[in-house]
Amino acid sequence: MAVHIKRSVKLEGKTELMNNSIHYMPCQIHTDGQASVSKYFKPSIKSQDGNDVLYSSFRGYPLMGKVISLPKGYKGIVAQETVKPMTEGAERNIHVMHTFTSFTYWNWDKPPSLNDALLSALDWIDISEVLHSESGDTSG
Amino acid sequence: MADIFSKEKILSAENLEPHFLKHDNSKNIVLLSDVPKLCFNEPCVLGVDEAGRGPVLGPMVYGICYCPLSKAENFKALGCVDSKSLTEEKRELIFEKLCAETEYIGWAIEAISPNFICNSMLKRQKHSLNQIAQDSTVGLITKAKDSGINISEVYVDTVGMPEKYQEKLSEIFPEFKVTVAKKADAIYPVVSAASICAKVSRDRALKVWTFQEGLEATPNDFGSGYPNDPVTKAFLTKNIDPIFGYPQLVRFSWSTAGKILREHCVAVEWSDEEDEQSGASKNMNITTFFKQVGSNKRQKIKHTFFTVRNLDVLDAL
Repeated sequence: MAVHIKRSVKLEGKTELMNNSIHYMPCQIHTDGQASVSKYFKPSIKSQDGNDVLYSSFRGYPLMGKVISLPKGYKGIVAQETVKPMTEGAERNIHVMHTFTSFTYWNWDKPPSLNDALLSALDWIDISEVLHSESGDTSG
Repeated sequence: MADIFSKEKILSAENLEPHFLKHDNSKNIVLLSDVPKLCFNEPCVLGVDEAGRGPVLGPMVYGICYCPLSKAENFKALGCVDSKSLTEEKRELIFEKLCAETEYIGWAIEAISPNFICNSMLKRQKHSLNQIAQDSTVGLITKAKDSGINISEVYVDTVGMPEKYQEKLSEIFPEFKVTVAKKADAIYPVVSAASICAKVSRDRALKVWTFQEGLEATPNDFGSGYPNDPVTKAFLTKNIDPIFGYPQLVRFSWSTAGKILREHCVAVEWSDEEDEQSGASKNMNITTFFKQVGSNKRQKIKHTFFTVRNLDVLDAL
């Protein structure tokens, strides 16, 4: 089975990153589709002087968040599969609709930290780079 | 919590509106009158009451009102009776009279935002409405005390059991004679006065409510907020978003709101932290330790570095 990742025509000529619109939510929302983020969620995001923790609320639950930058050289993609495969093993086409280099990570009522799996998973990128780099420092 | 000592003095219900308008209504706000000079010296009586505890929308407002003991009789003359027996116009008229007696009457209110209420009740460590009510009561009395008012007696409308609550408040404020009673606003005119300050503030806060979600609606559209009000019910059903639910005017943690939410919105699951942590080991079946995997090759076990980070090799979508 081959998966082709293609740039969407919608992305052509688009240099704007989606940095301010990607939110990682601490809950599972059982739907897939559009959401009125600008109307309901963005206005509820507040910050306090002197710290980089953001505060918001979703369905009455208190959220604490942080803007997370992806490691240098990496880019996040928002992908969409417009035509679902009819049979197992069929070729699939995934279209990249948007790109981003940072996103907002939200926790339910606790500040984001390296105890959060997703944030500490980003460590792997640095570690794998060291592990896979060609020239080794032989002194150790 | 933002404290506002109003530069433009609040002398009527209408004067409250610009303060609510300027303020971010997802947060709490405290408004205080000037302290009359007389109250620094003479022993004072202070009443506490609330408005908007039951409604599914809008702020819950706590109010205090105080004056020298020697003048306490005047509350009756100013018309302070059980606020529920008064019309909105009557309440606002009495509020204006209370504000006018700057020589000997002072007051303060705290409007606790609906967002603060549901965020507190839906914290990881739940904070009940009674706890919020108690925090606000203690906060307002402390503010009055710290501003130099010579408080002697405190009268409070009860939250839950009056005996227990009185004991608790007496412990926090051993220097005051604290009386907690059911329906205190109908018994003690100073509590009626506090209740009027609270109720007038809640009504005005709702009148000028600015929806950060861009909705255009007035109290005529959302009603009293009491769950049995058909206008409120219609508002809750009409102004619902399948993902986000309600605007922040609504207390999500109320059963009425929750019921309509479950019926009209997509399901949302909040992962429980404890489940998450014990999940990995719980799901492991003891027989897996004895299973022969593949040929004689030892099964590759993922290092905890990867398991704690939810990292996995992905070879299919």
